[in-house]
Amino acid sequence: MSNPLKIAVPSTSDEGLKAISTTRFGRCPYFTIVTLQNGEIESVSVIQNQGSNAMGGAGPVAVQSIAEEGVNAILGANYGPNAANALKQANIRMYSTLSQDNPKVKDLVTAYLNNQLEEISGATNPGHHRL
Amino acid sequence: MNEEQSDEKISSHTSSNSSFPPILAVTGGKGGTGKTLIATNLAVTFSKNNFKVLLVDCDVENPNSYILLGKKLDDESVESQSIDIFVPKFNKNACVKCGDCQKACYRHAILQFPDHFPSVMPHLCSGCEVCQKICSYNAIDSSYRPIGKKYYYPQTYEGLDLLVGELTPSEALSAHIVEHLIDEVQKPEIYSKYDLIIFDSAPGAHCDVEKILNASDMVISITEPTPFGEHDLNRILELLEIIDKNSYFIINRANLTKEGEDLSKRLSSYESIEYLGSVDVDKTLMEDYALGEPFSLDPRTFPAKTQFLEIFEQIQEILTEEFLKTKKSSNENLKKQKIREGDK
Repeated sequence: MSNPLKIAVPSTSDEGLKAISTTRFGRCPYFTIVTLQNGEIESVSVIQNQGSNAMGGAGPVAVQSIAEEGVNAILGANYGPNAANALKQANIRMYSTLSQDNPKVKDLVTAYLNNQLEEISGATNPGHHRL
Repeated sequence: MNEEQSDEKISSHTSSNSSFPPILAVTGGKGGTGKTLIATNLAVTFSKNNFKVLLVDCDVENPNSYILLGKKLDDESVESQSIDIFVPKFNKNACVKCGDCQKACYRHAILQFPDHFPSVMPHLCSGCEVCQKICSYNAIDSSYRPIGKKYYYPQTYEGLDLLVGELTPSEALSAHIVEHLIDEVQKPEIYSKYDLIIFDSAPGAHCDVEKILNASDMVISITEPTPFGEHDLNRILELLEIIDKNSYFIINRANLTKEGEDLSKRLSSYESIEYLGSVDVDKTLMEDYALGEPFSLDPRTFPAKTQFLEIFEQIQEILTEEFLKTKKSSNENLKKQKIREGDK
């Protein structure tokens, strides 16, 4: 029996598993947070992303907010260099998205449970950061 | 910066009416109008006329005035020095992981995860020191990271020294480098060596340019007779109005289009700017430019050089006439600058 795993999915709405995901990590409006226990979905919650309105440093702000929720993994996004760096420091593992257009949160979680998402080791796109 | 020191600097040139030289800024808004061409040629011509001149390249994102002087920054007489900014260093013996620094950081450069010590993402940090000031546990020490360099090149020509500020590519804090250059020329051991300081500004009407124009006694804008030149010059005029300064202007490549004459007529009706003259497109000038040689030192006689030297005479006259006045206002400008910095 393993510890519960909390995974976050950047989402365009607050509709939980039905919400459409987005690859924008730092500036997505919501994170859907799914708690998994023994390969099953145990609970689902939604938080607003404080990074979505940040003047700068949206990636680190987003990481800060999901780290405070105790998230262990993030799915379905592209990760800039600041975000990737911060996620590593927070020990949050990064996973790719699906090749289909606009997957729902549930599609990503299912793919994750079936080991269909690729784990990512570093930034997938250049930063947008400007002072 | 040490406040006592800077106060001393100000009083040293206000009280003694000492030899703080006038500062001439060359600007113009649009890129490629010939700001550096005019600045370098003014600098060599003033030094040829027995002025001790310091040319300061303030276009810190693309400092290339040395090329137009036909020089290289790896010359052995060049002194280079790193320009650094504050970055927090967390003292793990004192830090209680309260998270106040993370919340206070307006750049979101500080991360602090539950039960972790804070950490900083240096590229996002603006060096504002707020984290250090608000930390109740004195757990943030000062560390510094380089964001650029300055080069001091003495005697590029007889009587002409060059100071170059350079921002490291990908860094965003160009204004910090510009402030550093302005502080540098306020040091008595620097300014006392010169009769004239010339600032070569970056294009644009942003805060780097504003800082330079604010610290200057005389502003010369270089424009070209195109809609772009006029548009961008108007931005500089707006900036000059905001900071309450007058400017002179020169039209470079004046015969490039028929509209050139109309432009100078139109601009001469502006109250805030005074026309000094124009320099025409000239093949000989272009040859010198391509070779990286100041055209004003070319022994040949050609129309652009004659036009430039007439403009030079006017500038020299203005500076000489206004010299005592400018000395005073220069002190006032520096004081203003200091007060602004104090406000931050």
